[in-house]
Amino acid sequence: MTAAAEDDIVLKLLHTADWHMGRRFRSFNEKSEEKLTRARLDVLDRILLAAERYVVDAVLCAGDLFDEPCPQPEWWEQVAVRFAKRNWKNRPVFLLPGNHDPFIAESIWAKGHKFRALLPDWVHVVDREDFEFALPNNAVLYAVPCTSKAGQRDPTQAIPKRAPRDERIRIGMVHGSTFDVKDCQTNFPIAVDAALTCGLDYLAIGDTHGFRYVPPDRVHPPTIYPGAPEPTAFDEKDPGFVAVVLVDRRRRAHVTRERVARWTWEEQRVTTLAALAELDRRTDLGERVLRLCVEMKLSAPDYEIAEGLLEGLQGTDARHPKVGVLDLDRQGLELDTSNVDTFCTDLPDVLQSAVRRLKADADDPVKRPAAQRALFHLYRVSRKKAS
Amino acid sequence: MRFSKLVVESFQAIQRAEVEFGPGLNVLYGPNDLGKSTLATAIRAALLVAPSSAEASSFTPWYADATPRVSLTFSDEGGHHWKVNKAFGSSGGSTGAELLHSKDGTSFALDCKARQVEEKIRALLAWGIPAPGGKTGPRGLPTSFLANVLLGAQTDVDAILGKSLAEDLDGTGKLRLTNALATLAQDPLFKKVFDAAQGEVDQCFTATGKRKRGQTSKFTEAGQHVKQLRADLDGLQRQLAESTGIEGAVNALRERRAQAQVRLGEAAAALATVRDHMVKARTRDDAGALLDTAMNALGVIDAQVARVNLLSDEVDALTARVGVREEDVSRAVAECTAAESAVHVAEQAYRIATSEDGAKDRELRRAQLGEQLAELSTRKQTAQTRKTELSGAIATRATAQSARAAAVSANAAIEQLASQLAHAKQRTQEAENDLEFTRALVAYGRWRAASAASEDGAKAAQSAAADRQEAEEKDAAATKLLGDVRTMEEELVRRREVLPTDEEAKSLAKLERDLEMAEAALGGGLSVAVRPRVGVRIQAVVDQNPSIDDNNLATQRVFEAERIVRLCVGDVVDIEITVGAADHRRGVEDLRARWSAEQVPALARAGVESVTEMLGAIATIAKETAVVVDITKQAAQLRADAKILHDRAVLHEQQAAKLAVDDGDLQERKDAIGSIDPELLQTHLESLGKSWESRANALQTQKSNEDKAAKTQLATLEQNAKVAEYHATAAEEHAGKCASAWEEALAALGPGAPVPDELLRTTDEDLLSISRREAGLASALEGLAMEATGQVESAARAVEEASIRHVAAKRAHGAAVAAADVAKADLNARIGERNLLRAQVDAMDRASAAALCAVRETELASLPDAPSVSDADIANAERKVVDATDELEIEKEELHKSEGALSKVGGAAVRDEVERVQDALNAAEQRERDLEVDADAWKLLLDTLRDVENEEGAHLGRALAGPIATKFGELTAGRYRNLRLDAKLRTESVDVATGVAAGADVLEGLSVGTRDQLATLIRVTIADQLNTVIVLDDHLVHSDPKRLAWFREVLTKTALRTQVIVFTCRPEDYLSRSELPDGAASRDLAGGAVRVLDMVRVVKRWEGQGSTPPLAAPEPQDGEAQA
Repeated sequence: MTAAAEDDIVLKLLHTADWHMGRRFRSFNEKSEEKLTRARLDVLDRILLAAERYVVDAVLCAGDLFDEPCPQPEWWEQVAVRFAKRNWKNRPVFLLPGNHDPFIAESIWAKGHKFRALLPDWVHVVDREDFEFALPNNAVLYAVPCTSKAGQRDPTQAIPKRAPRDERIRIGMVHGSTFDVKDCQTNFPIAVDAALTCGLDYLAIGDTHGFRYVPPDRVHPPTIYPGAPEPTAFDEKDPGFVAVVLVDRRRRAHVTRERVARWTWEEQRVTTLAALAELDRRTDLGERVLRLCVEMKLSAPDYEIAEGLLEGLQGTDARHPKVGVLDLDRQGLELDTSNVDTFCTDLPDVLQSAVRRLKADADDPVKRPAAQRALFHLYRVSRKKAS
Repeated sequence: MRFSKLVVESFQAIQRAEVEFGPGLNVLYGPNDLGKSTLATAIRAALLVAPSSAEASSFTPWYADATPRVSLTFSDEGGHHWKVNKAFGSSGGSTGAELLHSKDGTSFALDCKARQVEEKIRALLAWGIPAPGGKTGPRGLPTSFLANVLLGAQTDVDAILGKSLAEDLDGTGKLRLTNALATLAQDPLFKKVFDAAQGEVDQCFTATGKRKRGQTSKFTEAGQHVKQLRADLDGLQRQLAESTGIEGAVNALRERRAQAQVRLGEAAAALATVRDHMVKARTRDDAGALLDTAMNALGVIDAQVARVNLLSDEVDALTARVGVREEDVSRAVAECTAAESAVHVAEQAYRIATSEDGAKDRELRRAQLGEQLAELSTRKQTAQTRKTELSGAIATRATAQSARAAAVSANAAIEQLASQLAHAKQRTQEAENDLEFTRALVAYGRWRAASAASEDGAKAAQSAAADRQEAEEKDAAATKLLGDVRTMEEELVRRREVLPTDEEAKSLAKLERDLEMAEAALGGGLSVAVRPRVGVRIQAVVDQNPSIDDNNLATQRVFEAERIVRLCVGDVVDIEITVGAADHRRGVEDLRARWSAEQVPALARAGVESVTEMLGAIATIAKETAVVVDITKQAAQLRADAKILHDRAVLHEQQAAKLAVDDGDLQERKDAIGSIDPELLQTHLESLGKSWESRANALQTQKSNEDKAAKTQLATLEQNAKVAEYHATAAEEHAGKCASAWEEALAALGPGAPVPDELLRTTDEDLLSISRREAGLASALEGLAMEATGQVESAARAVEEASIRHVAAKRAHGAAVAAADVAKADLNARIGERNLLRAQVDAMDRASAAALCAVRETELASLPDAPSVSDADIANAERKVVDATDELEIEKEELHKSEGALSKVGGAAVRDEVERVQDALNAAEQRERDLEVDADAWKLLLDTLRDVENEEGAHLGRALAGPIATKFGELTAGRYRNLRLDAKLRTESVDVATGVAAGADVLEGLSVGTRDQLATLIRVTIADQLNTVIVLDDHLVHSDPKRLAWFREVLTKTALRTQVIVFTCRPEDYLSRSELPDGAASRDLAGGAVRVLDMVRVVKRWEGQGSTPPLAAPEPQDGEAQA
C-alpha cells in the first residue's frame, strides 16, 4: 500500500475467529493430541503479535473462541494470561460467543465467571444483543452473540439499519453460517447480503474454518470468514489466517489475510517405496500434521526398509519423529509373501521351516494379516541378528 | 513349585508328623522304618491320589481306626500359595479333599473341593496326568514320567531310564518340559527369534493363551480407549439425533408454516376475489337498477312526449279539418251570399214585375217575410254562437275529464311509487337494522374479546405471579445448591491441593510400575547367611521389611529375600546385598532415587502411604468432583428452569399487559353494543366460529352495502314519486282549470239551464227549426212572387229558385259551420290535452333523464363482469381463510416450541464433534486391531516356532543330554559321555570314553550304582530346569563316598535354584556330625539354604507299635503302578 493510500486509512482492524481453545484431537495419540491442542494457545500469541505489528485499532474475535461453553480452566486462564500480558489501553479486543461456546448462564462468558474477572478492561465480551461500541475515527461496532448452540434466527437482524445521514463507519460482528453453507438453517443463518442490507461497511463473521469471502464475488462491503487461525482438520480449505481490515475515508474496507498458523495439515498417499523415500527426504515435515496412507506390497527387504522409513517419520523413544504429527494408515502396506522364503535361505532349517509354514498361513485370507506380520517379525528379528 | 509344610495324621505307620520345609536342600534323616518313605508317599497322596480312590485304602493307619489325613502346603511358579487337605477313605463325611489358595502364604481361602481338587492340582503340576475320570483319566495311582522324576519312589531307576514322556496320558508334561528346556534346545538364531516372540507373547497373553486384560495391558488401554470413544460417540449421537430431529422438525415446520402462509394468502385472495365479485355483482345490480329506474323515468317522459306528438298530430289533423270546415263555411257563406244576391235580384225582378199595390202588398209581406227571415237569421246566429260555446264547454269538460284521468293515472302511479317507496323504506330500514345489528355484533364480539382478553390478562397475571414465585423458589434452591457446591468445591480443592496432579499421579504410578518392573527384572531369590564369629548387634532389613534387631547375635542366621538384604553389623558396617545384574541394579537404584525424591514427598504431602492409596484418593476426589458437577448441573438446571419460569412470567406479564383492558374502554365497548339483546348477539357470534371478527366485519360490510343499495333505490323511488306527484298535480291543476271553465260555461248558461249537451242538442234543433222556417219564409216569399206576373212568375220562380238556393246555401253553410265547430271543438280539446301534456313534458326535463340514463349506462358498462357469487361461496371462502388462519397459528405455535427446543440442542457443534469422535473411534479401533494383529502375529510366530521345533527334532533329549552327559562325565571321571536321550526323554545310549561306542546296550551293562546315579542326575537336572521341588527317597544307596560327596555338591548347588527334599537314613552322606540338629527337630544351615530335620523328632509313630504294618498292605491292582 502506498503512503498516500496509507494516509487514506482511517480504521485498522484485525479479525479472527474459531480458536476452539480446548478442542481435543482424539483420533491422534496422546502426545500428538497434546501438541495440536496446545497449538490453539500458541497461535493466540501470534495473533496478538500480528495485531501489534499492524497497529490495528481493534481486534474482533468472531466466535467459537472456545470449543465448548465451559472449557477447562487451563484454557480460559491461559487466554486471560495472554491478554493480561499486554497493555492495549487503546486497542480494544472484542470476544464474541459462538455456537460452540454460546453465551449461556453457566458459560465462561457469564458476568460472574472468573474468566471475566481476569480479563483486562480493554477486552470486551459481547454479552448482549444490542452491543454497540464506538471505535476511533467515527466508527462503530455492532455485535450480536450466540446464546445457544443452535438457532435459526439471522443474528444480523438484531443490528440496527443505517439511519439516513449516518456517515459513520459501521462494523458488524456475528457468528453463524451464511446461506450458502450446508445446514445453515439451524446454525444462525446469515444472509449473504446482510452487510449491504444492514448498512455495514464490514461484516466480521466466524464459523467456517477456512478463509472465505462472502459472497465470493467480493463486492463491497466485504463479509469475511477469517477461518481458524490454526487448522483443526485435514479437509479445511485455507485455514490458518487472520483478516487484516483497513477502512479508508470513503468507508471502503480493504481486506488482506495474514498467516498465523504453525501447523500445516497435509494428506499424502504413497504407493511406492521410492515415493516413501522421497517423502522421508522432505525437510518441511516438522511443522506438518501428515495423514499418510501407505498402499504397497513389498518384498521382505523392501518391507523392512519401508518399516524403517515409517519408523523414522513416526519417531521412536530414541528418535525424534521427522513429521510433526503423523496419522499413519498402513492398512495397505503388505508383505509380499510369495517369495519371502528366497530371502531366508541363510537361516537355520528350523527357521526356514517356520517361514514355509507362515507363508502357507498367509495364503489363508483369515490368517493372512497375522501371518504376514509374523513373517516380517521373523525376518526382521533374524536379520537383526545377522547384521 | 516348592513345598513349605507337610502335615500327616493317621497315615499308615505315622500317627502324626509335621514338617516345615526349607526353600533349598532339605535333608530328612532318620533310621529305617521310621516312616520316611511314608512321608514321601503322603506327599504323593496329597498331590496325586483322590481320597476315595482304591489307592487310598492303602493309607489306612495300621494301629488305629482313624481317617488318614494329609495336608501339604506349597507354592507355584506364579507365587501363589496352595494348601491341599485330604482325608482318605471310601465314604463318610470326614473324607474328602479341599484346596485352599493364598496370595501371601498366611491367609488361605477355599478354592475348590472334592473332585475339582484333583483337576486343579493336576493342572497346576502339568506333569502329564490328566484330570480324573473320563476315557483318558488314570486308573489307580496316577503316574507320569515327571511324577516319577520328581516324586519317584525309592530306587525306582527303571521308571527313569526305561520310561519316557511317551507313556504320559496327556501332553502337559511334555509341554512343560518343552517350555522349560527350550533354551537348551535351540539354535542361537532360532532362540533369538523365539525369545523375541516369547517376550512379545508374554506381554500380550496370559499363560492360558488369552489376551491379557489387566490394568497395564495395552489391549486394555486400547480397548478402554475404544470403549470410551464409543460411549462418547453414543452420547454424542444421541445428542445429534435429538439435534437433527429438532432441526428437521424446525425446518419442516418452517416449510409447513410457509405453506400455511401460502394457503392463507391463497384463501385470503380467494375470499377477496369472491368478495370483489360479490361487490362487483352487487354494484352491477345496483347500477342496473339505477339504469332501469332512469330508463323507466325516461320512458315515462318519452311516452308523454309521444303522446304530445300524437296529440300534436291530431291537433294538426284537426286544425286541417277545421280549415276545411272553415273553407266549407266560407264557401257556404259565399253561396249564401250569392244565393241572397240571387234572391235579391230575383226579388227586384219580381218587384218590377208586379204591381205597385200588389206589389206593395207583396212588398209588405215580403218585408214581413224578410223581417221574419232576418229575425230567424239572428236567432240562427245566436244559436250557432251558443252551439259554439256549448261545444267549447263540452270540449273543456272533456279536457277536464282527460286531465282528471291523467291526474288519476298519475295518482295511481304515485300510489304505486308510494307502495314501492314504502317497500324500499322498509328494505332500507331492514338494511339499517341489519347494519346496526352487525355493528352491534362486531361491538359485542370486540367487547367479548376485550372481556376475554381482560380475563386472560388476569389469568396471565396470576400465571406470571405463580411462575415468578416458582422461579424464585428454584432460584433460591439453585443458590443453595451452588452454595453447597462452593463449600464442597472448597473442600475438594483443599483436599486436592495436597494431592499431585493427574499427570504427576500418573507419573508416580508409572514410576512405581517402572520400579516394580525393574525390581522384577532383577530376578528373585537371595539368601544371605550371617555367621558371627562373636556376638554382635545385627539389624537386618529383608526386602524393605525389618527382620531382626539382635543386639548380640552369636549363631548363624540366614536371611531369605527376593530382592535385597540390608545388614547393619554393629556400628561398624552397613551391608546391602542386592540381587540382579549390575545395570539392572543401577536402574533400580535410579528409580529408587527418583522414588525417594518424587514419590515419598508426594505421598507424605498427600498423607497417604501408597500410590494406590493416593490414586484412590484422587479417584475419590474425581468422583466427588463429578458429584459436585452433577449438583452444579442440577443447580444450573434449576437456574435454567427458573430463568424459563421467569421468562415465562415476563411473557405472561407482557401478555397480561397486552391483554389488559381499561374498564372505561370496556364500558365504551359495551355501550357500543347498544340495546340489542346480548343473548341474540352471543348466539349469532357463536355461529360465526373462531374467526367471528373477520366474518362479522364481512357481514357488516355486506349489510352496509345492502343499506347503501336500499337507500339508493329509495332515493330513486322518491325522485320518481316526486315526478309522479308533479304530474299528478299538473294534471289536477289542468283538470281544475278545465272544470272551472266548464263551471263558467255552465254559469254562463244560467241557473236551471239544461245541461250543455241538451242545450247543444236543443240549439241544433233550433237551428234546424230556424232553417226550416227560413225555408218556409223563403217559400212564402216565393209564393208572393208567384202572385206576380209571368215575369213575376218567372221572377218569382227565379226568386224561389234563388231562395231555394239560398236556403240550401244557408243549410250548407249551417252544416259547414256546425262541422267546423265540431272540428274546432275537437281541435281545442286536443290542443288542451296536448298543451297539458307538453307542459308536463317540459317540466320533466328529458335531457337530464336521458343524460342520467347515459350516465347509468356508462357506469354499468364501466363495471367489469363478475361471476355470480352466492353467500355460500362467501361463507366457504371465509371458512377456508379461517381454517388457513387457524392452521397458520398452529404451525406458528409449533414452530415457536420447536425453536425453543432448538436453542437447547447441540446443533452444528455436536455434529462436528460426532464427526471428530467418529474419526477418533475409527482410528482407535484401527489401533486396537493393529495391536491385536501384531500380538496374534507374535503368537502365531511363537506357536509356529514351537511346532517346527517339535517336529524338526530339536527335542528335549538333546536339550537335556548335554548337561547330564557333562555331569555324568564328571561323576564317572570321563568314563561315559555322549549320553543320548530321545525326543521323549527316553535314555537311548551312552558312549564309553574308551572310544568304543557302547550304544544302548551299555545302559544294561551299567552297574546298579551307576544306573542309580545316572537316574538321579537325570531327575535332578529335570527338576533344576523345571525349577520345581524334587523328592529323593533313599537314593544313591549304592554309591561310594566319593561319588556321594560329588552328588552332595550337585544337590547343594541345585538347591540354590530349586527345592530338594532328601529322605535318608544316612545323614552323614550329606552332613557333618556338627551340622546335625542338636536335640532340636530341625536346623538351618548355610543361611537357610540347607535345612536338616531329625525325623525322630518330627514323626510321631503309633505309641508302642512296631515299624511294620500289622497286616499286609493291599496289593496294587492290575494296571496300577506302584508308587
